[in-house]
Amino acid sequence: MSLNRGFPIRQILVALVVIPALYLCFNIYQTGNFLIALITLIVICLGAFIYLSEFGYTYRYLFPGFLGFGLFVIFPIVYMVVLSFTKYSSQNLLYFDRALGLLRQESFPVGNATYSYKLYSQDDGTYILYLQDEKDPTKRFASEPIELKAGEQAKGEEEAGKLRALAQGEEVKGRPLEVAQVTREKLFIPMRGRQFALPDGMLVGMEGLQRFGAREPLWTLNPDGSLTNKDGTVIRPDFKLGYFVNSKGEKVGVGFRTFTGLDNYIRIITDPRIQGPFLKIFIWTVAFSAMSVILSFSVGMVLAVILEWKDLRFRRAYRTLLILPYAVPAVLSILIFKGLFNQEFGAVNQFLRGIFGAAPEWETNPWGARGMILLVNLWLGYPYMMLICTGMLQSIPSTIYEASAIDGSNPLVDFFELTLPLVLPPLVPILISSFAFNFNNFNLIYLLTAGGPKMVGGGIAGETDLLVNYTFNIAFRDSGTNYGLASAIATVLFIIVGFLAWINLKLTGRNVKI
Amino acid sequence: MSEGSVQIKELVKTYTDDRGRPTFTAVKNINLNIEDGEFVVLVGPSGCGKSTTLRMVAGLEKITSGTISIGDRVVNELEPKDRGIAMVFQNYALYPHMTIFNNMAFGLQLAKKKKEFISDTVGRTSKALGLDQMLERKPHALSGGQRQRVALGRAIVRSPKVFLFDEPLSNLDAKMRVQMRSEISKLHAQLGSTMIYVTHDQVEAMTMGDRICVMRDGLIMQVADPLTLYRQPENLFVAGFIGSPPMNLLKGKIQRREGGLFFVESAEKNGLTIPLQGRIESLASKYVDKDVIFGIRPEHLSDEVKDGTHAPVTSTVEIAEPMGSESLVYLKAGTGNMIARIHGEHLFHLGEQVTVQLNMDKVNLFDTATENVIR
Amino acid sequence: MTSNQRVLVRKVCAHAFLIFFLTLVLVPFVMVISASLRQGNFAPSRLLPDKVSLDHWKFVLGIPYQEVVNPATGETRTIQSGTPPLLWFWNSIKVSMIASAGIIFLSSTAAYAFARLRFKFRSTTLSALLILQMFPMVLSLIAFYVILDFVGQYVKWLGLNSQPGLIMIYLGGISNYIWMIKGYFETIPASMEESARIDGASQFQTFMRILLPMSLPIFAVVFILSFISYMSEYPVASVVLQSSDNWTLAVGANSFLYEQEKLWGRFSALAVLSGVPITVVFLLCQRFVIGGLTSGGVKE
Repeated sequence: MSLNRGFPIRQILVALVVIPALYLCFNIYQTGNFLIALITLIVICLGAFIYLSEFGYTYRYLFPGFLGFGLFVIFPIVYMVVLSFTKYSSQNLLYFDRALGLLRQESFPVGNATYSYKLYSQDDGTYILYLQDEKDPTKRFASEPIELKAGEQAKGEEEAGKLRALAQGEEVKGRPLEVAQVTREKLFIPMRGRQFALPDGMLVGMEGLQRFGAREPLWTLNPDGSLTNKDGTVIRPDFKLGYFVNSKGEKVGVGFRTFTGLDNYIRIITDPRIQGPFLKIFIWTVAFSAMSVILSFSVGMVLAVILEWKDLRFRRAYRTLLILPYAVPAVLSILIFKGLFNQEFGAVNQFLRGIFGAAPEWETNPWGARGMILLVNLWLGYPYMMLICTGMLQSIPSTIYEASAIDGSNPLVDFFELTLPLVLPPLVPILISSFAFNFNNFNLIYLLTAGGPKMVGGGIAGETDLLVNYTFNIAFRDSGTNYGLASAIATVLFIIVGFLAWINLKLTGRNVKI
Repeated sequence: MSEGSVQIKELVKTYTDDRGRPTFTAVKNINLNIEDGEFVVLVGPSGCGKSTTLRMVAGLEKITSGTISIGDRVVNELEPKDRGIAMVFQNYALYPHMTIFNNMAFGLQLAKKKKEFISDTVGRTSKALGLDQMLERKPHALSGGQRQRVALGRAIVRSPKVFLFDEPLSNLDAKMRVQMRSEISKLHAQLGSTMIYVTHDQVEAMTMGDRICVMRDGLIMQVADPLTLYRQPENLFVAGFIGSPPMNLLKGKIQRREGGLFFVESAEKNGLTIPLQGRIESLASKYVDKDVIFGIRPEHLSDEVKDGTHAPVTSTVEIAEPMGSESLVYLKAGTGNMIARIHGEHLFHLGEQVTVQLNMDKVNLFDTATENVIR
Repeated sequence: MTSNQRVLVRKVCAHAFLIFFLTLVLVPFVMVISASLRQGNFAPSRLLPDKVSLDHWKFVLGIPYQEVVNPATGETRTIQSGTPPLLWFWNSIKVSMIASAGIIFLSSTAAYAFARLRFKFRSTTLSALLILQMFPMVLSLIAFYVILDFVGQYVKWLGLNSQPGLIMIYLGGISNYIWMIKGYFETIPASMEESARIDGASQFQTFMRILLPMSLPIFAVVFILSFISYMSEYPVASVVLQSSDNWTLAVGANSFLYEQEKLWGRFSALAVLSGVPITVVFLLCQRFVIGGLTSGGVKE
């Protein structure tokens, strides 16, 4: 568009963004994440192309939005779907390579060669390890400079550090640290997880706080991928199970993530521990969403109709006060209700006990809890419906009511024969999207009941959990964190809600031109 | 060739959808030459391609094929601002968040004109249009007619070679429309610039245009000055479109009976039979026993015999609309209906039998198959 | 009954119903205010506090106060919050404001392309946006964690436990707003922009100088709606933000209500202090929001 008109502002702006981005990309590449660096590079080039060439003009408006959308909406979905085909849980947490690496780093002390050690602190914050054979003080070794983060456990995946023999009289550079200092500064913690290799290939590792000892790996890797123990036991990876197993089929070592195809989906359908709660929760989720929409729509509609009555005094004041629940941040209101509905001390039950002498169990009885959730959601949801209905009502020409009055109508007939049929069809998309919103109303349940009371025999499931809360629990709560299964349920959930959205789109499509 | 002439050659516009597949051809190969300083009106029913043509001249629509030249330059690839045009839109397209002054000055500001020049030009133009008292107002504070003038003023300050109008009067009430019509005509006389004016209103077209270009379905049906268009329509469409009330059109055949030629209305029974005499007879002789359409304008039906060749037709009055100076009489003759525009001295009554005289000198015959006039 | 009497009866009924309903709606607010002023940490249960004390308010505002430890001896100790809870409110405002401004930038530019420019798969992309956004944000948490953990290795201030990181995640939720703004753009006649083009404005100038100033009302709506929704967002914020001085209001408020000890008084004081300004701002902007809600979803 602007052909070199004076100052090349656009080019400078692009450069200001691209240069740091390229630097970041280079950093990612250097730390060994080749694939991610490549993708970043492609995105950067694409962006630069779009903003510099006339050809990509349209996409200049779309690129930033799509970048955010792709990273924070599409990527998580893809990631979830991929996870849903894997075995990935608190037991099967690591990648195969790391699980294998951990096994291969298992070692046992051999012989009685022990070494005293010293750490030499370097000016750039790294350290050099110095070893001296306790029996033969002429055997001295030094490592390359290594990084140690005080107090931070080594991940156990580093290659063994190389040690080189020191010649007679050669001194290590840097400032030596005393053992006491190493202990005080908690440098021994990262040291402990590390191993070093002597020039002859012998491994050494820390024994106690004072010295290093020679070690030998416990497992040797065979060409067929199996591992042989020092005592002759052979274990091989079982990719169905996500573990190394020995000949008796017992699990050895830590589990690893593994691709299991449709296993998680099959579990949802067949495993009674999942399937039972899943069905129950699904039905409650649908019922909750439908009831919430119907209740809040009915109340909102009635209020809107009353407030449209021109002769009513204080209409504005009523409307403003009635909108209040929509204006207050929902988190706060939900938590307030949690207090009000407190079974023992809450206001609601104190009031009811005062009048009827008895009160419902909002927290321990599943039906009480469900009733409370619907009431609270009605309180939260009716103002939105009231606003929408008010807008709709105001678009109905008042002449039709005048005409019906001449025909001898009354307000009830007006409402059911004129208002509702006119207002309902254009509201259908809004009702559907409200249904979809409640279908995934995580906050309400999580903050109000946390799913409680517990479902009898349902494991982690609660009586008032929605599907999305149930999935969340499986993924994040307690010891049973099972990301793979949670992802599978999330995928199913997404298909259901996506389908709803699609229907909604088709319905709206009649009114709105895409 | 002079600066303000516009030449349209073999112009085609085909719309495509998101994926580039053709959906609809709005303009199908049209040719039109507009002289410098001419006022040309493009008229036709909605969807005939007149607006699309105008928007291609403006550069708002890409041209599928063909060329448009303004002055000596082919402008197909030029940006709108570089074409030497200005355009007035149907909804005026005034920028609601800018004052009237800024609305008019916007183009000049973008062109980086000097401040004094801008305020001078806008001041002069607004004075001429009677807008100088409201330069600091926003468009919503103006009446419809004033907004229309601002839109005109915004076009004028650009001092274009060619003015483009896209149905500029259709949002005004009837009285305002008549007034603005004459103002635009006056403006044309003052500035002497070329003007291309799109409308669906044939009265506007007839009153304003030096020449009128009638379009239908992406094709030009006829280009002519208003009177030629009215008197000598080249085809059935123009005959029916121009004129209010429209030309009476009767379907039938030419037959030779008792030595003379007759137009016989196609009907089960009671079809009209009209003897063809004079000028029309020689035209009809080529179409004996063929389908033709017989066209006659309402004012050429009369209840008294005047000069020239006339054919009497007996008919019944169905509706009479006396308008003072004249009456519109809806007649049932044979199986068809005809409208006559007759002097207002006589009051007609429902069901009255009237013998009307058709002025055969003014009759047009059309070929039913090609819909073209028979010459 | 005459028709006048009938109308009167109806009016009385309507007022009675509205007042009854309003009582149900408003009582919780009154109780929260009362709980925040009541001595001790009781769940909201009274319309008026029995013993008035400003301790909870002082705690929330970070002002030290004396608490009686042993009623018999009258022994007291000084209590002051480490992180003043009102800071959470400020954090929330900051995060929600910046995220909403970013949302407007991202969604208005994209909406412009969808409303006015032609490109391949335009309508398909639009539908896909809406359907994909249906994926609940909570279930993306694993992926969010992975992303922020990764980014944090290279850019510390954008990683886990950082507010910019949280804002970055929030910027993904643009598709509803794209639809809303696109709907508004389409109500603006295209001839405005065409006129500007003839006046010599480039496409970008048209966007900036004609379309954007005309769309301020819808931007106000989008800003308010996204602001409110981010003020209330809990799950993502609770996972991303770990240290208490980074917390948002939602995370902080919930932290008062542990399973073992529920500090209702402190919670109520925080709820009142932070809820009131937001509510007031919302009510002031009411007109905008109502207009936007009805025009965004359905087009008449």
